[in-house]
Amino acid sequence: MSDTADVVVIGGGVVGSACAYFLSKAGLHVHLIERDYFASGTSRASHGGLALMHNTPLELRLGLASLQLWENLSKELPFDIEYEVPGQLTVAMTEDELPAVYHQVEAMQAEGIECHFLDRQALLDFEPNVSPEAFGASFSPLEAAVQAIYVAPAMAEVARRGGATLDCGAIVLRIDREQDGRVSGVMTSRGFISTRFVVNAAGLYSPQIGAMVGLRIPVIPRKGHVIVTEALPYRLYRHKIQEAGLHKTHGSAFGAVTDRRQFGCAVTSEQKREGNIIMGATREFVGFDKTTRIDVVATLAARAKRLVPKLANVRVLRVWAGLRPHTPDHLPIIGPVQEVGGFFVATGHEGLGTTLAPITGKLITECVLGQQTSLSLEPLLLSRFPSDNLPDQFMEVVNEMSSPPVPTVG
Amino acid sequence: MTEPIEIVVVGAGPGGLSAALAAAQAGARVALVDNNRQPGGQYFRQPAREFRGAASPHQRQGADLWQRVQAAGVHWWAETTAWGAAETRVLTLAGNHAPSSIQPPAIILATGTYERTVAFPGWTLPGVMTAGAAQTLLKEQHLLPGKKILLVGTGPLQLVLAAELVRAGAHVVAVLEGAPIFQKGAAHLGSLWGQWERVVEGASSWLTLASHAVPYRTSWGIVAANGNRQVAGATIARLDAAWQPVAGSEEQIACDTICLGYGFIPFTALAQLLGAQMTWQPELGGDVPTRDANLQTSAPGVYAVGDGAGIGGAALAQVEGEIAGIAAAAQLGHHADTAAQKIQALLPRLTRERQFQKMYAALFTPGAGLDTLARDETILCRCEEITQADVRRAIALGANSAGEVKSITRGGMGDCQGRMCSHLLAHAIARETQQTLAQVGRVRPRPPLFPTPIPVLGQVQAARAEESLR
Repeated sequence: MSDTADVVVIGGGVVGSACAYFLSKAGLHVHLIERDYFASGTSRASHGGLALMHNTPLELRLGLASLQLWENLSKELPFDIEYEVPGQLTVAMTEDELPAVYHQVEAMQAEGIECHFLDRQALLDFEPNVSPEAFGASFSPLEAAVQAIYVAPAMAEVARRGGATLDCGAIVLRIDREQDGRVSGVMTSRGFISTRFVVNAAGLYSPQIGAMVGLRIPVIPRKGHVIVTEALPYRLYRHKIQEAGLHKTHGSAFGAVTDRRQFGCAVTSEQKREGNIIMGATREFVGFDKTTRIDVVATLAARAKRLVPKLANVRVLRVWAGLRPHTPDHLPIIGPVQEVGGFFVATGHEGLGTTLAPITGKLITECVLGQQTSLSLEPLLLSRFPSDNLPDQFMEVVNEMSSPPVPTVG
Repeated sequence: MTEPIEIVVVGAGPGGLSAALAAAQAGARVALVDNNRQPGGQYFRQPAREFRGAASPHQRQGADLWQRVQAAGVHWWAETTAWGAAETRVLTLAGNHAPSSIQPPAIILATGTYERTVAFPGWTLPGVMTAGAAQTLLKEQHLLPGKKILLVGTGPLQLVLAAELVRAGAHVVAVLEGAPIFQKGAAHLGSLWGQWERVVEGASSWLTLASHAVPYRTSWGIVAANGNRQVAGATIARLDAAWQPVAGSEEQIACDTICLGYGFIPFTALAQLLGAQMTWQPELGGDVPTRDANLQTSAPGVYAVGDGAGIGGAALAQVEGEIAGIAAAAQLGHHADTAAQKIQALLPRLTRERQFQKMYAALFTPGAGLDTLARDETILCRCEEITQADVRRAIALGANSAGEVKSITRGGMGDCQGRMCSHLLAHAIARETQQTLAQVGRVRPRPPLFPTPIPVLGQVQAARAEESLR
């Protein structure tokens, strides 16, 4: 089989599907390659929160732009993705955590984003089932949620209706280049696709795709556990609720502050439309191991009960673990690569893949079309990392993934 | 308790009770775990306290066995759910009488089965229930499930249930047996030799139905349940050799309750979590753990007995329980010298019950037609309301296996944790993708296997907390 496409997008997770969506909307013929099936990697394990992170003004701007795109997408996508905008309470469970909450309010207000502080009494009036021992909280009303596993298939479906080829079950074997280094095609287990543009949205496996064109892409897995409860016939709470400690556990670099044990654990939770409560999050560096660990789950459950004591009466239905694509500075890698013409990277979103997928797709589309991007990509480019001086943990993964993939039979 | 528990038996049905008794009599310190308040499982299900005086012979037999188990000093952990397990032979438990987790030297799984549901138009209407549900209402609460009852399914248990319902005053409109047992049955008559209790029970059920003029039809089955908000009737049809409804043979039958007795699926999730190797044996109900002569699985110290290791009925479960109880105790040094001899003495009984098991499987394993009754709009996963059309859409999006369809549709992720629907979903995927059930694969069980309170999860002892659960 031989084929031609304007753009080949590698990866059918939420980010790759969003790229295909926006590229296809722009009138380009997209060929989307997914090794397994849509949302089968990190996206499958996501709890679907659309969150604003305020570590840097850049993160806030990216998040805000993406939330605005989400609002339009929710109306346009062909399947119900259970989009809702409950707003986010960030609760200080200890006095120590109050400064983090104040800081969040300031940082968001400085960017003109609505966010305000609630003292204990105001918090309990606003969300009565939060622990009366809480010291206060911020409320950020724009923060939203979707059903993560529905998003990638829905966006891919729009792309397909716009003429995109969806190629599930194909494995990328190599990427061909012109003499000047520019990409010229992609060889897969199904055949060759001639193209001048390739988007690497392979998430955890983006280092492997990068290695095919001689790039070192610093992405390693960061594991997270998610708990889902039975559907409650009543509302236990109306807003998304998270511990202020969450911002601490994110960290900004390897070896960042983590919680009591080796896994950074702080609760972020939401009661979904059907009544189930979905909650994360934990952060561990344990390679590609997706095993669910009861010690981690136990800690998460205990903390959730501390945050919302009435959770003591609620039963857990399911527990799972997934792996997020983590970069050395905790920011995604989005944009072109100087050394390889026509090659774009859209990866490393860690826990913000679902949140930032639309803005990522839009930015990549602007790049491919040669337009001025709506946000400066400078701080997000791959070139910000010195490829010959990556932290050891990243080098290990990059090196391991540099060997070419073996096509599986059947 | 002062001395640590040596053997945990999971499930207090016929197999678990027999295993606990044999192991305790050999001198092992045994704990018996069960979800229910009362021991007995489904077969020996005991009447509620209010009906204690009205116990049936079965129930009295179960109560006798229970008394011997108690006399042997078995620790009874009632209303305790084994909601998780790990390959390090750890069980996590939720219940007031049990520790939150335990790592005993040996575990005997007697986890039994759940009933095989069938998806056909109308199967989610109120009034459709499994035969086991009707039996529980009757045995434990002395309640009839409805006024005009249709029994559809396969196997002698249908006859027994129908007779029990009739004796309790119900109007049974018909009993439909899917298998052509009169044509096929003659070849297997020999296996009934020695099964006198079963023969008597069957004959007595038969007589009850005959004396109440309850129609009994073989090679007939259900096609649809009809009614708006409640079952008002059923469409039934004659079945061909593959259990496919014969076009043009449909009949309407009025009823308010439909009991489905299409057999059982072994509950093997704990065995899988404990690391036992599984093998696909359709005639035993599907995936079952592989076992050695002592009924030990491939996971050292983990034994499996009874229907949970392959559908075979209560009598087989009891003899298997005895063997595993003796073997597990011997493994821990209790009467190790005489164990082989005791097990040897049980082999004739084991052989006889296994013969019966073979006959049962040959006669009463449903044909492939049973899995073709659903229509596009028929719900397969009722917790998440996933229809056959939803499964097809997921396949169009690239899903090929049970796990992939589950993650795209959320089918099998509801409160029942797939026990009602995973086989329905698997059959639908197999048909749509033209694969075998083995290729479609199974969804790997993950704890919690049952909805488990958040504080219970939070409580798991730190000592066990380092164990990873798959």
